[in-house]
Amino acid sequence: MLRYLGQRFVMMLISLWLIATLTFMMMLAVPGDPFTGEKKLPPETLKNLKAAYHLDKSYPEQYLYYMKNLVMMDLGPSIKYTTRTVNEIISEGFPASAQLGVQAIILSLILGLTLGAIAALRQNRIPDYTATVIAVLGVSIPSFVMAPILQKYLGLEWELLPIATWEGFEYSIMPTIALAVLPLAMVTRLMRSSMLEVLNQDYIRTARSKGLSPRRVIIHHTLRNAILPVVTIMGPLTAGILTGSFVIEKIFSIPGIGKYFVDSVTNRDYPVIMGITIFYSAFLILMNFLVDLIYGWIDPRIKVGHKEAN
Amino acid sequence: MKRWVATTTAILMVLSMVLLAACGKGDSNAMAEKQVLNVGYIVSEPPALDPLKATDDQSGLILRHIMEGLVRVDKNGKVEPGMATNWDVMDGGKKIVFHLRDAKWSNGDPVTAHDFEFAWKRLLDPKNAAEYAYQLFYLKNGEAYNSGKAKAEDVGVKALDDKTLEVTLEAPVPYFVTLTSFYPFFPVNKKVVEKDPNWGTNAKTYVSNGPFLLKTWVHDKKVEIVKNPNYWNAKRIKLSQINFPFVGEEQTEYQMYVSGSLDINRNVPNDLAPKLIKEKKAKVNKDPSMYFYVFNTKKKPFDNVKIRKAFSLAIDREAIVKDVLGQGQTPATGWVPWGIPDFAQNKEWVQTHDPYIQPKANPAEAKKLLQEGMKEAGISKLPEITISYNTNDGHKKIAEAVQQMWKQNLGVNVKLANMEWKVFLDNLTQGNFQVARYGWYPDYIDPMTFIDLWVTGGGNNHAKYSNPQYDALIKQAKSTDDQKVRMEAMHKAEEMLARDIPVTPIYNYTRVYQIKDYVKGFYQEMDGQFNFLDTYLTEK
Repeated sequence: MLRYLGQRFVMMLISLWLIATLTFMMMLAVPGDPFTGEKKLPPETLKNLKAAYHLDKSYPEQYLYYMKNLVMMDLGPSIKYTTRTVNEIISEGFPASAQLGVQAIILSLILGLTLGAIAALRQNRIPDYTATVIAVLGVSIPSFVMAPILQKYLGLEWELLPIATWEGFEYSIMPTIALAVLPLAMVTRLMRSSMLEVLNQDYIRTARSKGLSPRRVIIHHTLRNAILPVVTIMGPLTAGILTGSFVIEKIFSIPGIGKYFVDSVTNRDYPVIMGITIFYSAFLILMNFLVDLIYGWIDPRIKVGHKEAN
Repeated sequence: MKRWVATTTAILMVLSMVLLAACGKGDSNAMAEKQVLNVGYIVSEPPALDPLKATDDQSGLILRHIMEGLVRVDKNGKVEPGMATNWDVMDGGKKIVFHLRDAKWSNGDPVTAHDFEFAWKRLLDPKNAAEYAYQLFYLKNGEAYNSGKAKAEDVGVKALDDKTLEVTLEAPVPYFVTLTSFYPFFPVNKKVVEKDPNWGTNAKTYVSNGPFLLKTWVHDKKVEIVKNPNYWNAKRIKLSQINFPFVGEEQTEYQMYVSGSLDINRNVPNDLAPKLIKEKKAKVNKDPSMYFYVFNTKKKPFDNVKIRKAFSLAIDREAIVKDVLGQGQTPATGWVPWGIPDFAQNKEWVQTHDPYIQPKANPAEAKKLLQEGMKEAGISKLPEITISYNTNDGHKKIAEAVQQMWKQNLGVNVKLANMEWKVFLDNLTQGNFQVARYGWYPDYIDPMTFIDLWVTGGGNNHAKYSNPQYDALIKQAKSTDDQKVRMEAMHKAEEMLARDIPVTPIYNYTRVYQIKDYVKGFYQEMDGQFNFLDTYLTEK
């Protein structure tokens, strides 16, 4: 197990290094730089600016300089937000993004699993159709449409919740719902179909014929097995929540790091592009690793770290 | 029984009087008890509140309320005293001596001329790599110091004593005093900055001298400023606090405004604007900026002046303004937009000359000129024409309208090419375009900020236009502080642009905003910036 963990860790570092290097190369290949603007700067000012951010050096030198700092966990200064460092942007913005993401995941899991399970148990009856409609709507209505609708009704018309900004828990409810809709729909659909599949398995029939109560059959035999496919998509699901948050954070004016993902590219703010990409990649790689571990824990047949056994 | 009726009547009468009085109070200008203004203006984190690093509108809005330069500009565009009470212009406009008032920094230190000298040199110091260093290139040796060719002592700014600041310029600049109201010219507290270079990055360490003080700055969330009780003109300021939440979405900001959590909304959604303006729910202000199409005069077919003229004449600007935009914009009549004054005639520049451009298209003349131009250029068929613009819904709609007009009025097929902003700029700089959209807004309120754009080799001269006579006129205007001579030279230069057409102006910009009725005493400065110094709130 330890050896496996060690191997995975090295692999994770290599992936991260590859991502960082590729991003660095692509970033510099895109036309324009941080100082391209509507009004052109005088050459001497431009020269001073480039020197201040080490952009006057050759690409390999810039790359080495960046990597050296990266190893020291220093992501450099933001070029657009001149008085902040990338480390500050991430450490100040991540708590809001994380809160939103975690709430959205919890909401989509709890509701999605419940709805999916109910739909499967009441197949082709009203609860099933309701769950299906919710799932279809959730997948087909993009969050940037969902969010303004929520704002208009919950915020403006019925005055139940604040429209935007980030001042306390009630401010996080609407964005959480908007962000959770898509994963919620995905989880519902997946849970329904895997539940149905499990319900038709021989061991369920065995369990029932043994005389176990329907409740015990569902909780101990069906749910535990049906949940496996949902765990598999937790990785992509987290990725979906992260990318979804770019839009949601903007619409609800949330002080997270989501908006920097797009804005930094528009601004060609090189250190922020690199910093945010590396941070998100590291996060996703870690999530996938955790999912693998959880997978082995839920289903003992899957032995994490014993590939050669197959 | 009777007594009961009498009592009730009396009570009702008293009540209705109170109610009437309350209503009357609402109509009058009685000040509300709570003087806190919520402003929807700032879209995202202001990049910097240290005058050294600030280069944008949003930082500028906050800065001009928490800091104060030598002067301020009032609502009519006239200079009013700020940190300086008066000034003497000498040496044909090349030397200006400012006399400072007794004023205090928020930490209690006196504001001195040394603070100004220090701040300006700090901005020009090449080590500090300030983007807006060039705003101070008017100073003697300013540019030389910034490029490492002169020393700090050679720069034309000197504190003669605590209260006297002597400024020497490279050439006479009649608008220099006005310029000092712009944030790159703001002072900083020398002692504080020398001790802590990062003083300007958070509210705790921030030291300022303006009518308001920086109370809160939560990154990516909000800025709150409060009245500065020690401001020299504190009695002028009626608001106790201004909140600037950062709202990144126009639709969100609009809904927050409607719901009452914002008192002013600067970012009205484009699709709602025409309707809101019609219903008088949004206001329109002149924005002294120009939207235009620039021709690449070094590339076929627009290297021919007659062809350029033909394409310019084939644009129906009135239709664009009315049918495509609908936000109170006006068709351009020349290169200098509305809102910019002619200082010799004391009138708006656009009213001092006959229009160079007609609002309607002139297809007959355009066709004729196109034929003549093609003959001159020796071509029987036009190459494929492409309009370049940066990806944006508004630019797209205008480009589509122009595409149709050129098709209809000239019989020319036009392609559209949209690009991401910085890719677009890169292509423009490299000359990879035929005709492209662009916009220009003033750096200072003077026609020169527009007129000198097209000098040979100018950094923003994407048309690659070059005309020695035009260059000479600009040089002449820049050599004197005699407004009559300057304005005359610039009028001639504009006429030359109208003849040579390196650029075809389309429309004058507007600023659409919403403001609640109970917000009084609000105005916009000449450059369109919001000013809350006289603002107060009445009862809702």
